[in-house]
Amino acid sequence: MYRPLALIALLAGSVAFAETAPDAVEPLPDGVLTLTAPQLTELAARVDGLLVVDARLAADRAQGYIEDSISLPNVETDCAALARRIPDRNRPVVFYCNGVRCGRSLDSVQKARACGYTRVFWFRGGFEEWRAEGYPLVKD
Amino acid sequence: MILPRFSMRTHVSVLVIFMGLLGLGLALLTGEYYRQLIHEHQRASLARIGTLKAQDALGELHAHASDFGLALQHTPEFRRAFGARDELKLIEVLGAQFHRYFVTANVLRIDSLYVLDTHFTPVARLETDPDGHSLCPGFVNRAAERPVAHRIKPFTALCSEAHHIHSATLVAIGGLRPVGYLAVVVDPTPALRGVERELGMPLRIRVGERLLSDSPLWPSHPEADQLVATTQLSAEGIAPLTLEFADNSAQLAEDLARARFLVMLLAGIATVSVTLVALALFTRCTLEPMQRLTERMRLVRSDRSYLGTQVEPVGNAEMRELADNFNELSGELKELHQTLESLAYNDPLTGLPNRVLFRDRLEQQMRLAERDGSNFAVLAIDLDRFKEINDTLGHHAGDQLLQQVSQRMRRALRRSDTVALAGHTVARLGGDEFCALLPAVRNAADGVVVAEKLLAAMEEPFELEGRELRVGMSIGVALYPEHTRTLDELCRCADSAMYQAKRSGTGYALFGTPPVSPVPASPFVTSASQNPALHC
Repeated sequence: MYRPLALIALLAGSVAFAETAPDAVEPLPDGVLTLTAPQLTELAARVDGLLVVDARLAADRAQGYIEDSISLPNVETDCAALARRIPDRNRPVVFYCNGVRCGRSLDSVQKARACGYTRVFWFRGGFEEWRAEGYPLVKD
Repeated sequence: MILPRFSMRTHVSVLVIFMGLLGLGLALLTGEYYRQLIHEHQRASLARIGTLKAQDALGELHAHASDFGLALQHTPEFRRAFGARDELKLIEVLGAQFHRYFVTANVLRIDSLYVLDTHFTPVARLETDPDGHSLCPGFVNRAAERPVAHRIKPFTALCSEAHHIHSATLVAIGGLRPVGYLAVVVDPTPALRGVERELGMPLRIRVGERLLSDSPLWPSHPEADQLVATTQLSAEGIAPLTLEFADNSAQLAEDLARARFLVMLLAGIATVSVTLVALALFTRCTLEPMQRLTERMRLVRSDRSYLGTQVEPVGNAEMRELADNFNELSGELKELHQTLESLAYNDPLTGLPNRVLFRDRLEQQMRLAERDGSNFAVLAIDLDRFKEINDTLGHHAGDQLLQQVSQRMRRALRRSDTVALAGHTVARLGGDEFCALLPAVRNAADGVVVAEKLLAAMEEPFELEGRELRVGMSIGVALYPEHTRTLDELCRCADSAMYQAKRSGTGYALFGTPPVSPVPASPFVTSASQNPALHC
């Protein structure tokens, strides 16, 4: 399940693994790797500065969210908003929303890539997978 | 052996009843076996349902504890106190939780709270019970052994101690990058007790043999009409954690008893019906035909005249065959009997009655005559020169002669216009010696007429082996009761008269009278009745 080597290689700047990502769906921009929940926790444990972005609207976030994630709904995401929240374009960023049927995180991923962010990850399973796997969540 | 004393009907009845009782016994045993099987299944189902419900309740409890821990570690005051490793402040923050929702709403009954750093070293702890509740043994070690990426997941364990059980939930402090851990230890008893309400069945919780939590609804006599199911929850600790459920099985027991009664009733009716039908069939097809045969055999044994009579072949195949065989055998026996009788009472050469039969008939006639005062005649008959013929022509010719003489005598006595010959008997006593009993001959005259009739029958020459031969005959006539009243004497009288006739060559002689001339002028010359003093 875990691919620490692949992830680390990706973090080093290689985009070759994007095409072999198991859960890749079109149109996934080049250089974006899809993550599962365990891969996300693995990544978080090994990589400093990993930022998790919640692309959902505030109402959905009120149901619970991944601790330490920041809220930036996709509808509010543009290069300026991204630059305000994540000034470093080389910082590894993970986007998630409610689940595989939710298009918000992919939208944000595409926008981030378009805005020149280099280490963009898509947690495609989102909140649904996170909860189903038994990972902790918090509410405000 | 006592068995042979009873009739076949008794045997069959006893056998059928025994089979019926055996069937009833088997039905009872089977019923009892099914009852136990049903109870076992019921118990297993109860245990499964109980386990599922208990696991649900514990899962919910763990989720609440996890939510509680995560919410607590997320609060700024906790984070600040934890960041500063301020134990007193942490204890204060932990203590404040007892006035918040999860505790005041009795969702969680917290036993203790532990704050640990990333190396799982305790930073602060708060316990409701002064005696203290430690974490489950090995709980922290097992939590620490998990892969790093898994450590952010809540970790739970159920453990049992001597007097109580508790459930521990460990949550990570700090989200994706844990900086410490918070352990929430709660009492799962209320959650497990909730299963009692959900299932509507009394529940008891045991640690090993020790009763930890009882139910006021627990039946006082669980064995009578209650089904008790037990299930063990996987818990760490000194003894297994057992849940006991009691289900009221009175209705089930009643239904089973009713079903058993019905089955037994039907089995009993079936047994009685089968017994009656079997007996009726057996009686009709076997017993009755057999009784008829037995009765007929008894009759035949007591009276030989029943030999040859037939029995109607009825009943089953075996009995019909038996009756056919009996009929055939009876017929054969009758023929055999007749043959034997004929051999015993008849002369095989001439077919005439022999001495035994003649004497028998003579005795009968004498008894009859004594009774009704009637009279009759006896004729002693002897061939003349028979020995000579036998010696000259051989025994074969002698035998032929005897047969021809017999035929002629028989023919001569068959019809008579003048003398009553009814019921006469001509017998061969041996050699050329014959004797005739004439019951209808009442006087000497008739006797003489018969003698002459016989002599006349001998007048024609006999043909023996191509030769013609004339043979004479001497006849002695004796009358009963004129000449004597005893059987032997009567015969001697006839013999005596016959010798007299032979000596005189007159052909016949009446006992007690002088020999008649060779050509009898009148047979009515004398009468024995005129000379009763004469004896032979």
